[in-house]
Parts: sequence; C-alpha cells; structure tokens
Amino acid sequence: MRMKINYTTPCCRKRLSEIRHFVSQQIKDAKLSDLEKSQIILAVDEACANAIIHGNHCDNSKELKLQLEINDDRISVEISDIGNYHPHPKGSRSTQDVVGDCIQNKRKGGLGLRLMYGVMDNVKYYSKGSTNICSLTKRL
Amino acid sequence: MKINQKITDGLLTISIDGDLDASTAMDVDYVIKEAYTSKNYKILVDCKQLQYISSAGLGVFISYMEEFEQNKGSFVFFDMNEQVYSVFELLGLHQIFSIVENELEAKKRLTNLEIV
Repeated sequence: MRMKINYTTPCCRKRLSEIRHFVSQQIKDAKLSDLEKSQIILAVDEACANAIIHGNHCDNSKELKLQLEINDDRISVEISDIGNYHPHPKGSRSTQDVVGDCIQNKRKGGLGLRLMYGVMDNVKYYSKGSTNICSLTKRL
Repeated sequence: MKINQKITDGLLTISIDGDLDASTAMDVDYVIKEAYTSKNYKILVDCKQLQYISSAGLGVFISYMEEFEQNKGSFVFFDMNEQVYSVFELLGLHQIFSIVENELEAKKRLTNLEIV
C-alpha cells in the first residue's frame, strides 16, 4: 500500500482540530494501535501548532501545507510553511530536565518538540529555499 | 471545548469537555488564573469529557503548579482516558501530577494535603 495525500490550511490555530481530524481519517487503517495513532496525531498537531503560532504568528493569509505518505513500513508527514520558526536541535538535555525547567520558570511552552521526539522515530527540520519543512516519520 | 466549574466542600472542580489544544488552552488558563486570584488553591480536574490534550494544555497546569503548591494546594486529575494519560506519560508528568481513578479518590487526595 502506498498513499500520498496533501492538505492545505490557513495558519490559524482554530484549524488545529481540522488538521487532527484529517490525519486521523488518513491513518485509520494503518497497522497501529489506537493509542499509537492518537500519538501520531499529537505529534502532527504539535508541529503544526509551532508553525502556525511561532513561525507565522497566526497569520490567516499564510498557508500551512501537509503531505502525508503512508507506506507498508512507515508513515511520513511533511509540514511546510513560509514562516520563521527554526527550533533548536533536541540537544542532550533529558525530557525530565526540560520539564523541571518549565515548572521552575512557570513556562507554558517548550514541550511540544519533546512530545514529537517521544512519539516519532524521526523528527527533522530543514529549509528548501524560503520554505521550512518539518519531517516526521513513524515506522510501522 | 467547554469548561464547567463548581465548588463543593471548599474544593473547586473544573470539568473540561472537548479538546484542550493550542487554540483552547487560554480559556483554561483564564479559569485557573481566576481560581488562584480567588484563593481556590485545591483544584479537582474532571477529565471524563476531555478527549484530547496537547503540550499547550499541559503547559497551563505546569506553569501554575508551583504557585498552587506554595499555597498548600494542588491539581488532582481524575477520570482520564488512556490517550490523554499517555500524553502526561510521554513527558513523565504522570509522576509529577496526581492522577487518580475517580472523583472520590481525587477529593481524598486533596483533603489529605491538609493533614500532611
């Protein structure tokens, strides 16, 4: 089985529930448990929220593009936009340290990337010209 | 997402119905800030109708955690579904926050805070 599906939406945080619904429909027959599917939806939601909020400042006139590819051995999602979100690499800090830092400094953000890394087998950010791409892969 | 609040025996219960994500987290933030201002430091979070939580939702509870604990309060979550629990687990937050089976246990947990 090989399937490639594209989805485009405005950079608006209210669209996040539609994005989750879209992903859930596309992966519903994948060879994964319901819990694993829900975690892939979470990782995509986190990547999209970062791009919408931090990369594009919720500018509805900008677009967020998703490309979902389902193969027999993996699910890949590419989220692309023309924004300015360039996250720091994962680094060597443990999730426990990052969470502790958020508690101590009363920070509301900074954990989305950790969830993406925790759920997906590969998380990669790169640029192609003016386009930023977040690539997420989960092996089946 | 809808939020309902009730106060019983001095404990505030916040019931969240729907998805707690980056588009709805500020509504919960407002309710918790209001609880803090009103000195309601012991909060039961009813998750029976909470279908989804992302880091933005978790961030709200994380950011207020210390302030509530400094006032001998806490958040106690109950009736959480497997998917929502797994998000806490991915970050190790299931060991930091109190998450219990039901409302009765949640009330006991919060009441015990007074004894400790």
